Amino acid sequence: MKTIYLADDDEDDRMLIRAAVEQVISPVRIIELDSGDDLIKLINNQGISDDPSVIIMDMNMPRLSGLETLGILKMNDASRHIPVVMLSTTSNRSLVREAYERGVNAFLEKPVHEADFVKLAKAVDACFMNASHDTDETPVQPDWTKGSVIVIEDNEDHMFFIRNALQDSMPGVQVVEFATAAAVDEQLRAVWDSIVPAPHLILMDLYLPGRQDGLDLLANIHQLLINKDCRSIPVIVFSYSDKPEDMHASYQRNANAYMTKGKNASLWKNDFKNLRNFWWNTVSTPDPR
Amino acid sequence: MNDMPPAASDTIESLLTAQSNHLSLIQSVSHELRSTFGVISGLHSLLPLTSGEAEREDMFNRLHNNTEYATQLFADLEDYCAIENGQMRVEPAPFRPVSAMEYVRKKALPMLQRRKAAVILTGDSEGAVDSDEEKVRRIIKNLTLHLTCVMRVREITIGWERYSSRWVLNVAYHGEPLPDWLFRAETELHSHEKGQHISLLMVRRLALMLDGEIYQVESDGDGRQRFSLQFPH
Repeated sequence: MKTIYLADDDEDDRMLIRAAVEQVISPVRIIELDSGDDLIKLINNQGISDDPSVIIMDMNMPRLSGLETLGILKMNDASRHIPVVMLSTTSNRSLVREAYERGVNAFLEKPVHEADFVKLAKAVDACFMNASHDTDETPVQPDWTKGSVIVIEDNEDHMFFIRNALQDSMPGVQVVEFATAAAVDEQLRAVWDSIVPAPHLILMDLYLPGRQDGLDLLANIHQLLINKDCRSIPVIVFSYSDKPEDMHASYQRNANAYMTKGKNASLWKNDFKNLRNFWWNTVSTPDPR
Repeated sequence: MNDMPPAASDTIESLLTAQSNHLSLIQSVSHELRSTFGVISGLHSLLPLTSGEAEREDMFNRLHNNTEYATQLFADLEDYCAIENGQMRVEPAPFRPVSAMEYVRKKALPMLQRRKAAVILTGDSEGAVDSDEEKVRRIIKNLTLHLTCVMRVREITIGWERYSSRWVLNVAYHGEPLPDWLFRAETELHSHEKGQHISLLMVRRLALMLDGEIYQVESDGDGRQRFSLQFPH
């Protein structure tokens, strides 16, 4: 069963998040905690199940702050493979930057309206818990000319469907394609500064062609993003594999999200709409992207 | 369990290991099958929406390629089961390698044409070797399939040489190297290596059945990957 660890000292916010999650994800187990140190204690004592899990955590909590809790979670072998979504009322750029430097998977301003909590729950389910949701909303269309999407996919047919889905969900966005992990290792660092508009999102397959090729590439991309001071650019693994060990290994190497390719490739456009809504329209980053 | 004779305990352990290996193979192959059928389903959904002959032809080609690949994956699974169940036996007889190679190339021609790939054969067209022609064909077919379908290699050169007590198949192509486990001498693979590329797994199993050996060869500076399969005859 999917598990959500929800750490927030505000009982009303916890109630709103719980209600939204239960409306969208079923079955789901929600474990509520009112502080970061209780979350750490729980994980240390009970461990985390192999089923899809995600931690949704408030930034401002008493005793151990969200940032301190995040640091401990990402240093701990028992929990570093679990994605952490941090919510906050702040949009203070230096705090957002610090959260990404400590390894947060996504940083979001806390929703205000009930409907926004539902959107958040759908996005969390789609991006971190292997689900596909139809998006019925008509989002505010961002200016696609302000960011590029880097796609790393070695299967020509999958690339065909990814192009199709991108065209449908982000029409006009600049796409930079790589067909092998070796090509990324050789070329991306060199061409990074000349990619116009600047990279906004990296989407990659895991089996490139082997699993280890993708995992090694994730580590290299993470290092590149640190070197380029672009730690907040999301790296999304998009794979057919739904094996927990593949997801855990990807998160351990700092993937921001792991999405499973839907069984019918023509429906990937739904996943991409969620991707767009969440990573383009919703998450906060330290830099104006 | 403690009261069991050591032989029985060993048997149970090896059965459990075999079962776990088979499960990991099936899990990995299912990944490849799901990926292929995902593309097939997607193409079926998109086909009615195509506009123009070129786009339709492109989709039909993709559909053909993926259907063929899925069929091959099932055939490989069947072969794998036959080997594991001891139903596949080595039946050596003299044959000319050139006819086995030509046979495979002819069979694979539609697939190669759609993928704009070519198999170039170089070798003595008369000499015969003593081996199991059917299994040699399967080895070549699986290698061709892996290199063109999975690795998208455009050109593969296959040559052969005959010596007094052995004969050798030499393969060269431009592209990524094949996984290390293909060239390892041990009979057993780690569970995570099983089935990631079932075509290569079949190449390895069939080569072992023929007492063959697969080894990498140093590149001669033209940037091509090279490896050889050596068989007794």
